[in-house]
Amino acid sequence: MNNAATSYPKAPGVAHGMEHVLKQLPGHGNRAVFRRDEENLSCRTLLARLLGVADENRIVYTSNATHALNIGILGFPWEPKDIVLTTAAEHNSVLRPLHYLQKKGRLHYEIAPVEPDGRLAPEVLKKLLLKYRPRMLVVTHGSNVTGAINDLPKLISYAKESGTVVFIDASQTAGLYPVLPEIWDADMVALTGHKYLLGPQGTGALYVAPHIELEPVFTGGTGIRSDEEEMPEEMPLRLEAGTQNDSSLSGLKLALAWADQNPVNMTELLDKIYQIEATLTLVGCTVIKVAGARTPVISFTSEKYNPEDIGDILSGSFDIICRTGLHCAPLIFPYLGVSNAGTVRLSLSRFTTADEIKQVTIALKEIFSE
Amino acid sequence: MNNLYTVKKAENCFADAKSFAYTLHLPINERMLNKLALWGELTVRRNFRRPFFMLKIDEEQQVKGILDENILKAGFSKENWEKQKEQFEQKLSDLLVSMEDTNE
Repeated sequence: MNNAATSYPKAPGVAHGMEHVLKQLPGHGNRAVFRRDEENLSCRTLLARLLGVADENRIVYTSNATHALNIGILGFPWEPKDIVLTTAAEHNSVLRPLHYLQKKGRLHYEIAPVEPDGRLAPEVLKKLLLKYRPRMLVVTHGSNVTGAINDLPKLISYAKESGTVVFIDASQTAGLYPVLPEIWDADMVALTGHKYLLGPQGTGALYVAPHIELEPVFTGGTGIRSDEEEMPEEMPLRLEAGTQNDSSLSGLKLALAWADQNPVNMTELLDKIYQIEATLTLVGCTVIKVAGARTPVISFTSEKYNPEDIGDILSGSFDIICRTGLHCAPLIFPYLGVSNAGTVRLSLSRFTTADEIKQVTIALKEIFSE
Repeated sequence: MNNLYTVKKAENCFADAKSFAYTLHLPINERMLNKLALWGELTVRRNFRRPFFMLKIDEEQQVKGILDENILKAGFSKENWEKQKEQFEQKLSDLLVSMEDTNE
């Protein structure tokens, strides 16, 4: 019940495939022309296909979405007095790089309020775009606290009317909903492999639109142009210093290939969330209500126990692992009407069974029975 | 660290959390629970698959755990946590020694 953090189990074949790669002779990325670097190339191709991106060289491998967001935010060619607009629903992987650059005097950022379900209202964005004229909008596709999905096509269209660069955090949605930067006109997208893409930890990607030029945050060996002091201009190598995580990328590749053949049934998955929501309401918990498109995430609080206690009881007494607290998104809670103790978050996977939902239901009823 | 328990900070995602996990050298049985009950208001949820207990020492200090397991989780106040932790650990050591003395 903690799949919004790290999915479990992984897609079939991922673990075996990774073991296979680790037992083979290692690849020689860009360093041995007579050896094929097939594992990495295939993963990049599948990522480009997932995002509907024409040129797979615009996909940069990263260790996770945090890494991708840092490369995109820290490496952006900021100009004096630039303003960034982001939202109260963002994860610290967005907020902390922005805070870091603000502290360094490189930019100033503003926080857009969100609705009580965690969404950024398009009309609110429209007003803030006029007010701040931001250079960049950084916005999550789906809240990691509530699961609410933002209407990205509309938000991006408003931002583009203002000439604002749009950076999407798709950590919570890649693998569940279409993420289509080139159709939506988004400039950058960060995603991670270890959540709903069902891949291993330590994988992720950054999409960078062809007109965006980032300075490398990391520099070092690339296997090409070794005689030059600067990182090469060629993408994606410009942003990929050092040896890649071949075994994990092969795992992500296998997960992407598997998901391509086995599309997720969101209706079935969300039915399970609604079952949990019904139980929580029945036992008197306060559920963060989300209407419309959402991820398989539900957040709640109770007057009987604080979130930490509920998490401890669920894990200690019932072997149910969930996430409690601020979920690394500390600014969202006032908008949800929740204290700084945060919430309990249950997050499902496409592999969550009816029996597991039953076990959660039994546990919740027992916990809140007296 | 001593031979009665080991302690480490319980990492979590709460603001200003001062929680510590104590791994005891013996499991928390009914007799230990009775002794702990003398420290404050004890609640035991025996209907859970693994019985859960929560001890409210005062408004700022709380201890919880699973019956027959070895781990106690203690939470202290933001302002006064170091002193509270020190006092708690002394009481805990005394309790554990007393459990040994009676050979249970």
